[in-house]
Amino acid sequence: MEKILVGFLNLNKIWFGLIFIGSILNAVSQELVILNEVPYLSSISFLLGFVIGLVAHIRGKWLWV
Amino acid sequence: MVMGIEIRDAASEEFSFEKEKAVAKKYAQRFQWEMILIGVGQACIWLSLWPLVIYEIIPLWAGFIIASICACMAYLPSHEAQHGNYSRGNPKKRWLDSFVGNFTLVTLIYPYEILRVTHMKHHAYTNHDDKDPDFLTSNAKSVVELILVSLNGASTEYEKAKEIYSNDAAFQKGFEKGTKVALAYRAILMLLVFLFPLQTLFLWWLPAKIGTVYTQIFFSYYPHIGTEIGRYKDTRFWQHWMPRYLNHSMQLHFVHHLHPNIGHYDEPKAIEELKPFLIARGVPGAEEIPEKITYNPLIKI
Repeated sequence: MEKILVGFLNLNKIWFGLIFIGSILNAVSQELVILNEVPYLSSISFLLGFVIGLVAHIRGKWLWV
Repeated sequence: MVMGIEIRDAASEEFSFEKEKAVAKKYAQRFQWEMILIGVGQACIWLSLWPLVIYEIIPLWAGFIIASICACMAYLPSHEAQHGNYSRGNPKKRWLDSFVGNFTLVTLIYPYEILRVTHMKHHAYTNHDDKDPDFLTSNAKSVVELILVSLNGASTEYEKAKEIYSNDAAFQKGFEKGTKVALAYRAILMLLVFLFPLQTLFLWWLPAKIGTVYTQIFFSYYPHIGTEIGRYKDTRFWQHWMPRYLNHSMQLHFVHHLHPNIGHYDEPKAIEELKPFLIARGVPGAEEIPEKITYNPLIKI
């Protein structure tokens, strides 16, 4: 159980990207009229959040500086 | 013991360490009710913002501003708790340290126990690059660098502290306890952002970041810029364009490092009386301390 938890926490940036950033992007994209016609908007938002988290995980930090 | 010899050698009998301690003790007795009011008050105001914003009684932008102010007020009440300044050594009142210390930090999303154990090490090893958990923020090259370090997350340094103090059982116990709270915070944050994404961003996450940066700039960076290692050398008196009432009077932080049990709101009077001792000991900036600190905004442009 502890190993699963440690493995889960080691990927904390990915989870943060997927859930936190994904949710924010999803909420913002729903408000933007210009994106109303875009299909799979929610999926794209969460995927983008996941990718941001994955990049931060690989780089070991969030910012570019 | 070595520190005691250094202190005796450093100043004359007139400004002995014993006399300094006696003066400081006078200001380390009072019950810190104002700090409890601020800590519990800001956390209650912050909690009340959620229904107010969700039911659209106040707009999100107003909630964001109020939450950010709350976050800036959140750390100091916990800091007093970290030093046991509510219980003042009375075991029956220790719950007060724990309650205020934990409750006030909800706005900043920080676990009290981790801050407590790492802060004790900051006091013990101020400015030691390998042992001071606050070294990165207190010795940043500029405010911009400090902001970037802060936004990148301070968790790495806390993990480093956990490794460095791996043989310190009390540190590890506190750290483990705090880790559980940190996990709970993270789980709640993830749940809330899924249900109320923009409210979570503007009422909790962004204000917590703003509060953290504010705290690190005024509590960690400014008081320690250009200081050295040593009881009387590691924190300085400084002045700023900003009135001290807007930065929690952190111009006076040096006296906290010398005598952490002096209550925050009693520091000005304590410094007025301790000024000759501070000059004799060579505290950085001590000569510039005004004769009257109480009600003095300490502005310097």
